[in-house]
Amino acid sequence: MGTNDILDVNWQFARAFPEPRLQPHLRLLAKKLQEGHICIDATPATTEEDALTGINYLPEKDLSELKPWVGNATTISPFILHRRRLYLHRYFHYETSLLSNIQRLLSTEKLYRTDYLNKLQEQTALMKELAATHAVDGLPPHLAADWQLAAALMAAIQHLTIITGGPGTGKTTTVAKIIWLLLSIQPSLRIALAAPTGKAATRMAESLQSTTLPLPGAVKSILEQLKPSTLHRLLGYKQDSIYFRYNEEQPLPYDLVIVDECSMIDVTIFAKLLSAIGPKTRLLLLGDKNQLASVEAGSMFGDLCNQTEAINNFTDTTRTLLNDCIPDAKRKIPTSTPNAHPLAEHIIELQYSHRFNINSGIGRFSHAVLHNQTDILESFLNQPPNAEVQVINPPHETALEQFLTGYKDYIQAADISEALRLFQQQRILCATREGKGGLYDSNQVAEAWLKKQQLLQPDNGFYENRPILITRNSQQLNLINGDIGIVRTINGQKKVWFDVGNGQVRGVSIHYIQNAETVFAMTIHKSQGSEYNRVLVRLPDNTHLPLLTRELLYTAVTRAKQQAIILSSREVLKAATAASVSRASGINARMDEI
Amino acid sequence: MSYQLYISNSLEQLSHLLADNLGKESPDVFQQQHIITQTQGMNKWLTGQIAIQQGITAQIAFHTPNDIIGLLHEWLSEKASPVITAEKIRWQIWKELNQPEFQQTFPAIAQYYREHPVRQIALAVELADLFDQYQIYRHSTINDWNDTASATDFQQYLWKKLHAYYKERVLDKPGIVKKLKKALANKDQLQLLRNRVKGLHFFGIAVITPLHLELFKTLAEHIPLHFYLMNPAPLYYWMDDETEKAQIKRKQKNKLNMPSGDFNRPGNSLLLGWGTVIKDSFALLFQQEELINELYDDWVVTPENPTTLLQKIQADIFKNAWGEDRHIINETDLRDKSLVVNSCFTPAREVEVLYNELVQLVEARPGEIAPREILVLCSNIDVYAPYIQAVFDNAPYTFPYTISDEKVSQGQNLFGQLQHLLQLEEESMIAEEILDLAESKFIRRRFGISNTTLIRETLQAANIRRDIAGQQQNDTRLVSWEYGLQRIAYGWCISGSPLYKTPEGDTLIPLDSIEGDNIFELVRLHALVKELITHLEERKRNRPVGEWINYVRAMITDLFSINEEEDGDDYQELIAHLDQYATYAEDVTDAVSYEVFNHHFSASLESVTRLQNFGRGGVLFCSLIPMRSIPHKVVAMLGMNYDEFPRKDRRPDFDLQKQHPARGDRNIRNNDKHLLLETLLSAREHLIISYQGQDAKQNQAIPPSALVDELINYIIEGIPGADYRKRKDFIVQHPLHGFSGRYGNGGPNQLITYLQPLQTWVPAKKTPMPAATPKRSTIELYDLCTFIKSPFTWYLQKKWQLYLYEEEILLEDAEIFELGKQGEKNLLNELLDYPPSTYDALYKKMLLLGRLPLSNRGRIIFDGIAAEAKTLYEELDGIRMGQPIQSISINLELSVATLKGVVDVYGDRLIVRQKNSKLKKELFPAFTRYCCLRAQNLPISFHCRKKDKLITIDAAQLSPEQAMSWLEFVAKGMIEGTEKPFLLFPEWKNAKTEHYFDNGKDGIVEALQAELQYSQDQYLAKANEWGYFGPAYFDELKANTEFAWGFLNNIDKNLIKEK
Repeated sequence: MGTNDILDVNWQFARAFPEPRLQPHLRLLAKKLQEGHICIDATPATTEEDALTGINYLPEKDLSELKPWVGNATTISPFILHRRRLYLHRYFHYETSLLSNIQRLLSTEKLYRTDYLNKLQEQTALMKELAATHAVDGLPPHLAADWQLAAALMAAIQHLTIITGGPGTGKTTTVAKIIWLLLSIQPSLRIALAAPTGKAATRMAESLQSTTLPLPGAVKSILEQLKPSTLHRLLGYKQDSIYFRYNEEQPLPYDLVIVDECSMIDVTIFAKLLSAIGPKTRLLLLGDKNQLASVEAGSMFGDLCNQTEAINNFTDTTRTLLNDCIPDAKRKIPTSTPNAHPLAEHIIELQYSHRFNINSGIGRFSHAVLHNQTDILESFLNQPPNAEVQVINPPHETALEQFLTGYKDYIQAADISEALRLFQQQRILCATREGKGGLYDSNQVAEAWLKKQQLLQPDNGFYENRPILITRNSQQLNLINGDIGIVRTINGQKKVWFDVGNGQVRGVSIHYIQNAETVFAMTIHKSQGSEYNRVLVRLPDNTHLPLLTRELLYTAVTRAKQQAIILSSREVLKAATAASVSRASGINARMDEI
Repeated sequence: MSYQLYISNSLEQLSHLLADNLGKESPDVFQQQHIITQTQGMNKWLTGQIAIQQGITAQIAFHTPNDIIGLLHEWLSEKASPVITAEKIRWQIWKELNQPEFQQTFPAIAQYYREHPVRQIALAVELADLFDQYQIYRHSTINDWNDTASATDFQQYLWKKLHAYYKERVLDKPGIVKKLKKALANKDQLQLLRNRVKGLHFFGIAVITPLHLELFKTLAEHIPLHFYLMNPAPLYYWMDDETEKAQIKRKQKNKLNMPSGDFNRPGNSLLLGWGTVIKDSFALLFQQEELINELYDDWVVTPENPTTLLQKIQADIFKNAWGEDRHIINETDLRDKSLVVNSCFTPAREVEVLYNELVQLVEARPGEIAPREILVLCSNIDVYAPYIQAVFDNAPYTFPYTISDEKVSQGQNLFGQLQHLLQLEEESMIAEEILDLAESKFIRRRFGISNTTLIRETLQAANIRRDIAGQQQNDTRLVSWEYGLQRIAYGWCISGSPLYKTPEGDTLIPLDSIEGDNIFELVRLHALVKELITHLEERKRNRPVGEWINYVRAMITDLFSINEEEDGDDYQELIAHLDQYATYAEDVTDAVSYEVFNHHFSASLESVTRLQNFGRGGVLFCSLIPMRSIPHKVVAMLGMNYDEFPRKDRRPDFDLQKQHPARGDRNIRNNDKHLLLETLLSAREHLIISYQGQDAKQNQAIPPSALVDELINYIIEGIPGADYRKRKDFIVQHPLHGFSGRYGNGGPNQLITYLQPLQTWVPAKKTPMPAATPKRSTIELYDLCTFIKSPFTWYLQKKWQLYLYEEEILLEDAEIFELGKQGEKNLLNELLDYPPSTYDALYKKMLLLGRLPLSNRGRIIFDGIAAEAKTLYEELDGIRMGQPIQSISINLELSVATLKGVVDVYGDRLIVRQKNSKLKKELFPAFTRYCCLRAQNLPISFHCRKKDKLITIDAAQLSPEQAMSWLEFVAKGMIEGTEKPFLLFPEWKNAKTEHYFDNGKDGIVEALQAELQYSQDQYLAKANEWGYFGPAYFDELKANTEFAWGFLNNIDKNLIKEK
């Protein structure tokens, strides 16, 4: 152990447990937890660095014999060795709880299946309304199939339904269809709508309310009354506690719980959410499996959706049932190889993007990013300025400055609610906080440029028109981490103004605001759950950053609805798309425990 | 060559003269000129004054009288040995005290410190300081000591040991003076001196010592010495005058009828009483006749036509006037603001009051008083500095200001934080202290700690209070760091709070409140505390001072991260201090305990003061010494408290100066008197004095400093008739709080404040949330019950987003001794959730969680409550009749909304568990839940306990229609009550105001408001503050409350006893 290790938080973690032989494993476990993994391999490979610093890992057998420290699935020990993986007891417990709750949902839904099927039979008239209408000519069967309707039908007969899909694939529309269908079956249906962040929850509710589906008045009015909430609030946040008001003992009092942006949920919240789903509640999980996972440990949504053999996989009986409801022959669900995966029939991937067709810029680019198609990516280098996607190589300031002119409108808008709306039209997205091209640098560049244009007079405090991002929840101020506001003096009072929906705003005195930062630019992680007309993505000038992955780039680009500009060298772009996040968990391996 | 003595009452005049003399002394611009002063403040001021006179101040070196002996030694000889100073000899004396020889020779002295190592270093420090003083005040004694062979006195013994140890390497001052005198006889050396020094200018020196005089006498034969001295009454010879009081005292003492010719002339009591130091200095100087012959007093400024109180006093002093010669003081003078005495409750208030005075002065004469013309002297600058920053940084009108003389070791800087670390004790390791350290930027940076709020919450939850390890036998282990850190570390790993036996052998409940990234914040704290413990362990071994210095260096390296840009200067200064300290102790190789080392080392850190702030501009705040005689338009003195000023002379009995006093001795009391005299004279237009004249807790009057008292009496005596009752009017007594009603717009009897804008007296309300568009909505039963429990809380939370919590600000440093009434109530309620057979296990769990007092005390308290809980539980069991709990869904269509929720019942019974003895807050929510069941026409009965009585309502007693009407009432109230307060006070019945319904409306309103003002329920207090219990709302409040009571009373008259 070198002297610098005293300040290495991973060694600090390991040394809190006075068993020297275990400490190398614990150091690695701590390191991996911070990288988002929830366990490590019981016999980790010794890296070159480990060898240099004299780190030796015990063989699995010896590890399992460090008894008071290391236990198995049935013991209470700080560390658990299970199926060749070493966990903190805490995370093993969450993973186990997650699996057993999935199992519980799967078995309870079986009890109600006949009843649900009978009720569904009564809704045949509705099927025509719920069916897809877009043109499918020329599309292969997996794209033409009406997955949205299939998802709606499955949600009506199951207690756990997972829907994944990229931007514009109609997740919200599917939710609207599900609500419509279920309300028709059970008019007193109690619905909860939540997402990991307040922003994402609000966006979901707003999109639901503005759906173009020909909803009956009653359904519409129920949608209008839906109060979106953060997952924490839904579960009943308790001051100073990691537990919630709603849990297995007191399940959520709803018939349908819809959770959007599930890729951002870490293992702890995921497990707690599943525990709080009662025996009569349907859970609907939505997200984009290709997006970045949570900053905290665990990528449960991705892990579940990675059960590829379970995706869009139905038994013949179920497929017949679904296809009986799909009126258009071209949109029938294609056959799949039957398998006994416990999550089969429960994961539906929406494959057809209504926003970006496969040939559109953002659609093609993001697809190429996900599949690391370098030749396609290459074609996006140095496109004309009006192209939907442009990769500016080498990155130059002119493009950035050009983009910054877009912030002029909000500064010049006289009305604060209009300013808030205009500010949300575009954003700079950064991979890192520090360094050139990082968050701090980008905000500084933006401020300096806007100052040069005499649009702003930035100082270290709450200068006029400073856009800010709230970085910590404050119950007292009713502010949520992720809320965005603008500083303005109105009627002699300098406040930060926030949009509270329906064009209404609310001001909070600058003196109360404590945890906030400037937000001309934000990190890609923070941008999840939000969308903008235009985004400018700044990648760092370093090909070796571990966080630079295809998921990161995919997430950044898919925040854009109209245009995405990427400032990146060819090498960095290549490095990013070549790397992919893979987080260790036991979910895959433990599916057989369900 | 010569002595020149210039006397004046005006420092400005003397400075002009100094400038002239410097100009004449040497036309060579490269010739250095030497001024000897006593304070840095004076140097700064003189630099300015000379520049005004000569256009430039250059080539001037300032020295102190203490330095001048060593300097002359350097100037006269090529190889000068260093001078003995207190710092150098402390550890050497300590070492001598350690010698068996000393202990055998002076057993009585050795006895004093033998069992008390700290006393030994304290004695060494005391002696070092004394030896320092003896050298200049008792140089003949030192010479005698040096000359005699044997030593009978222990001081002499030690001195001789030092002398023998240092030999010629380090010289004492009398020795140097001897050498100097010899050197001055040597032509070559004299020429060397003359080349270097053309003259010495002693400016404003108040204290002259015999050693200096002896040196000057010889020196003056070779180079010119100029003395510029202040004399408050230069035109009169007052040195032999006596005050009337002194005469009376002498008379009483002699018990004689002395003829009047035996008395000296009486004089001005302030001048004579406070001028002792001047008197002594002049007396010493005049021992040399040449000086009397070279006295010049052409620079006297005669005060003309004094108009203000301050000017009158200054003029009286100038004339040494007494009795009828004094200027008459009238009522207007007392209020003319030239001399103000403020009595305040606390130092904070003193600073606030000072701020208000200053703004008032500046406002009255815009542009005439610049901040730099204001000087504030504080009796203890370290006490006042934080208040000064707090008040002046947040005030509406800003004054630029500088705080000087603050001890470097105060506050959040490197010195302060190191001091903090040094004082940390193994036995205590108090949680709040560690948290303070964790909040220090040096430590945060080093360990990467960012979220101290989380750490605070976690330490609280882990019940860490003090001690590294604690003791098993008295359970103090449960509140120790080792135990708590284990709870935290196992909490990272183990979830679900099981009882867990650690591999280290402790039984504990892992702290299940941290997960995710927060774990790593706590990992860093864990590492910090472990590191601290390691360093504390190292203190157990005795080691030489040099090694202790290395220990301090290691502590700085291991625990602090220094940012070169921010703290580079402090760091360099600290390192220099450590290096120097190490050299002072380099010859002392005996091992000492940490306690002994730290006792002295910390004190040495304390002595480092920040001088660099001096005179950076703006209002200057400093301690009493450095700027005392320098003229300013406005001078203020803070902290002129009883017993604190003049400071007491605390000299040890073995101090030879105390045993054989001599003229010119250092005397703190006289120095302080002199200081006040100089300050009084240096204030050009305003003198503001403040002191703590009232006890903030008991509100008792406390007199001011005896000297301020003298001044006040002097003023009152100047009023014809000398009515001492006027004292009270003259001293301005300020209220306890700055927001007191006594502050207004300066009307009659009103004080003025600029710190509390008047409008803030009206409670500021937060911005309301925009009104939600009314929709037919669903109401959760949970919310409905929350609302009816306290409609005002509901309104304040929902409409104004006002959440009021009592936050515990500091971590507790002792274990719990009592649960308190509320705590006992909570414990009882909690126990009711469990069958009595599990109480033993619960006791153990609660003890480990830190929720009970430790050891037997906790057991007794627990058992008492458990017995009560058992009775209640069994009673409850009787009502349950073995029926299991079940949840009933509620879905009711009310006229205003749909009501949904769940109600728990035991079979056919709804049981309100006794939450508290009076059923106070629970009755309305419980009844509302019951109405939900009855509205659905369920045959369920209601059971609750009120005081000692069981109340049962059968289903038949409440019809579904009645139940619906109650729910309609509550639901309507809730919807309205979100927008404006629903005026209902369910608890009223139980408040003391119960009987006020019989009184008139005004009486009730008054009583209710008075009571709620101090309600423990902060929401009620707030609603009251906003006026919702006032007369305007009263009728509606009464009607609603009476309706609600009446409703329940109708169902069962036992529920609420109505009059």
